[in-house]
Amino acid sequence: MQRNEILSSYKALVKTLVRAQRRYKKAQAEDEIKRQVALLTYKKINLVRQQALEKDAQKRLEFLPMLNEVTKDIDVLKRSDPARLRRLHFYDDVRALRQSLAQPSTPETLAKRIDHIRDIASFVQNQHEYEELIDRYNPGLKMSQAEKVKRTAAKVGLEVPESIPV
Amino acid sequence: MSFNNCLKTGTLLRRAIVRNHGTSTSIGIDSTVENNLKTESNRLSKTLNRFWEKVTIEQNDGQLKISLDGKPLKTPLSNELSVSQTQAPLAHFLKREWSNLSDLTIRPHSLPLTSIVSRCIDLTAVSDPHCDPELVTKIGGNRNTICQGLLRYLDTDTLLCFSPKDEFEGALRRAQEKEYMPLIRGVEQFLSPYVKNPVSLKILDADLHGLRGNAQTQETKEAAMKFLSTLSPWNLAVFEKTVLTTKSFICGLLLILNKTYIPSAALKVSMEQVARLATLETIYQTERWGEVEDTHDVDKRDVRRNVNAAAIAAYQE
Repeated sequence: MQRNEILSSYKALVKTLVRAQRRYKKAQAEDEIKRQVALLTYKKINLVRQQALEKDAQKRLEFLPMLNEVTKDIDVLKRSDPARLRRLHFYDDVRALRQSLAQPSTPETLAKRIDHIRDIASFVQNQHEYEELIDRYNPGLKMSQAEKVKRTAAKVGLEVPESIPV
Repeated sequence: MSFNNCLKTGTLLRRAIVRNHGTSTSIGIDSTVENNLKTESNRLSKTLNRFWEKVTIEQNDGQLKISLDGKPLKTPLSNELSVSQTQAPLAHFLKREWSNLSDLTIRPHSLPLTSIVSRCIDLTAVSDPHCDPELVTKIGGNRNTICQGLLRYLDTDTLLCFSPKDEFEGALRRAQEKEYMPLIRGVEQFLSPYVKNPVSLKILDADLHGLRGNAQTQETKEAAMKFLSTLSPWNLAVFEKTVLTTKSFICGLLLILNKTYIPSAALKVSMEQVARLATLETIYQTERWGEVEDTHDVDKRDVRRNVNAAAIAAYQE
């Protein structure tokens, strides 16, 4: 009886964890893509430079397939959708979590532990919802400095010139 | 508006003013003096940027230590962020908090467990009699000062303030009497052994007392103080967090009893119940008048996440 209860509360906890971390994982995946794109773009620029320095026409042609490949990689990365990643549907540390919760126990401590698992699930759930609400009601928090400057200028009917970096 | 109402709006307003997300406050402690000790949590709160790749849990001497890229994570007072081996789930969720942060700016409210555990660790560290008095000031006074501050919450405890009978056709008052009264009796019984005479808590009844403050008798205060002195520094920090969240000394006591001792049947409550008890009046108000956006919905989650975080930190088998 208690075994079933602890199992169901544990399952509910893992479900909550997966739902709550989808957001973080997505943000982290987006950052990762951005970093990769920046790296590849740098690589591409270097290739173009090397190509321009090369005097031999034949050797210059050899750069083309490499350039094409890098451009294709960048395209693929830019088109990939982090929201559709498979790992968004799993909790990474599930083994460590199970180990930490599956210590030997007596029936009394087991009842207490079931409550504990429910507390954790409730904490994760409420923390997740709280952060979502804060983000929704404070859109300025996630804005970049450039975006903030642009919007502040727009408030008084001005536009930030594009050439001036903020 | 009744006195009870005034009180709540007061807290609401104060909370609205205090709530300033995204500012650079010390993450571990809310009200401590800002300091420049070189610790990870300070670095994070000053730069608000993620600077690590891997979060790991390291095990030694029966302690579970959280590390960022192999370097130990430290609390605002420069103590290592570690928990006892018996609190493995807590360590797991501390780690999760740090590995979940994305590269974007980090806001102080995204580390509630770290915040409460840091406070627990720092309070334990400054409880050492040979501790540097400067650190004691940084954490907001010694144990006695903290206890005295918390004791004031027993005078105007949320669970000791009763609404007038004519509000909400008496529904709120009925709910308060049904849910608060058994707990008040239970707490009186629990505190009585600490002093000679049986403890009786003074209740603030809006119908009888109208607009006036409330104060407990000297003997009640003595019993409550004696109870506080039995708490370990760790549990005192958890107790403090709960009291500040729920504005109720009794709720703090209920949480500690349920998570670290085996409570008597009268005092057995779930954490959801604790959150409900602390916000009972708001529940009736929003039922009648509707929720105010960016206030009731946010506060509802805030109370619950803090109460549950405290419960996770306090949990002992």
